[in-house]
Amino acid sequence: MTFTEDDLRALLDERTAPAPERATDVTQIVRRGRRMLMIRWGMGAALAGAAALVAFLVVPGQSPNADPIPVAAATPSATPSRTPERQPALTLDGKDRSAALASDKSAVGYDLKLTPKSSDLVVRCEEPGAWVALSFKGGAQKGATARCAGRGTRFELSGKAKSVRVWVFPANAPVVDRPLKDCVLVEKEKGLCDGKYAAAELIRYDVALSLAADLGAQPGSWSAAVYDRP
Amino acid sequence: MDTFAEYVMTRSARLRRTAYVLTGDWDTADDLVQTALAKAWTAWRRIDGDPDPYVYRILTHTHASWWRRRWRGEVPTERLPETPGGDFSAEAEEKAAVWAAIRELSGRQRAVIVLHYFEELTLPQCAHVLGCSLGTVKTQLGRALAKLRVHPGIRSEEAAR
Repeated sequence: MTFTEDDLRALLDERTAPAPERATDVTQIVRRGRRMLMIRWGMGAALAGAAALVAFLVVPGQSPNADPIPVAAATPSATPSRTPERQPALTLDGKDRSAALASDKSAVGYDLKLTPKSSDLVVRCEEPGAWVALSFKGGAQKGATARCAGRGTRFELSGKAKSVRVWVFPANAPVVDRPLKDCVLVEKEKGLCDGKYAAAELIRYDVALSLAADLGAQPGSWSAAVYDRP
Repeated sequence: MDTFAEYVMTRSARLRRTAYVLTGDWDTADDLVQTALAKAWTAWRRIDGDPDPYVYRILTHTHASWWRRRWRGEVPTERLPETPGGDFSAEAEEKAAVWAAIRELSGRQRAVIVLHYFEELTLPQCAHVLGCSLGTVKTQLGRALAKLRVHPGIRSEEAAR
């Protein structure tokens, strides 16, 4: 017997016909996809950090004491820009700015360092109504979520946390401002309420990251600044 | 149900069969399909129109990268299905030899065979999925067919008959 192309087709069909039954779990595939994105973001952040370090070391005339504003540590893909025109005000009601960042993209989150004197955080968004979510590290201060107001949204700081992660999501992100107890379909682990993200749950890192992964980086610039008491 | 979930539900069975021809092992095929679909999910919003060419491209490229890393060396050889009484006909022997020969093709050659003869894609479509020129596809296909027809395994069995 000489094998023809039709024989080859028949052989391929024959060999794959007795496929063992196995249900495909979409949730597991999506979870795997999210892990891939997180790894990609982690690598992006590491590269951005390395690039920033190299730039810092090679730009002449810069010393570790030359920049009075501590730089926020970036985590996801996009690097926060700190162009002068985007920088928030240097003072707020007589309080000095101690940390600041600006981003060209929304659906991303960055860390800002806090000091024991930090008393206010102001987030300004290009898109009014954008979602802002804060989660604190160190200290007992609970996170907060709010819609971004036109002139900026102000949050009070307890002065106990060491850093705050600021997330900004587009106004039309799949977020509902409803506590989980009022939802018909609750997926507590994912922070989902009736298939959308519950605003109050966005203070959880995994929930905010999940929303960011769903959306991908979106257009919409914003800035955030921390102010310290004298 | 979102479009991705719908796609997975309707196409995963076929993708598994395609992956099986590529890998020769159902467990590895499942892993390959899952990996390819997860990669596709990360870019789902950017896919315009029919996602099949994109998903097949990921599937074949992922398999090629596994193949390059000698993943195939870790795949246990699957036993041929036994016939009643354990007696193989000459035709069954030849099929077994061709099947074994397919598994010895390079990753790219096997991908061309799978896309052209199993997925029934035209050669230009194969080139699009594999991200290479039509000429490359024709060359790979020619080499693959040559190997399948004159593979030592097949020749020795023909000589024995």
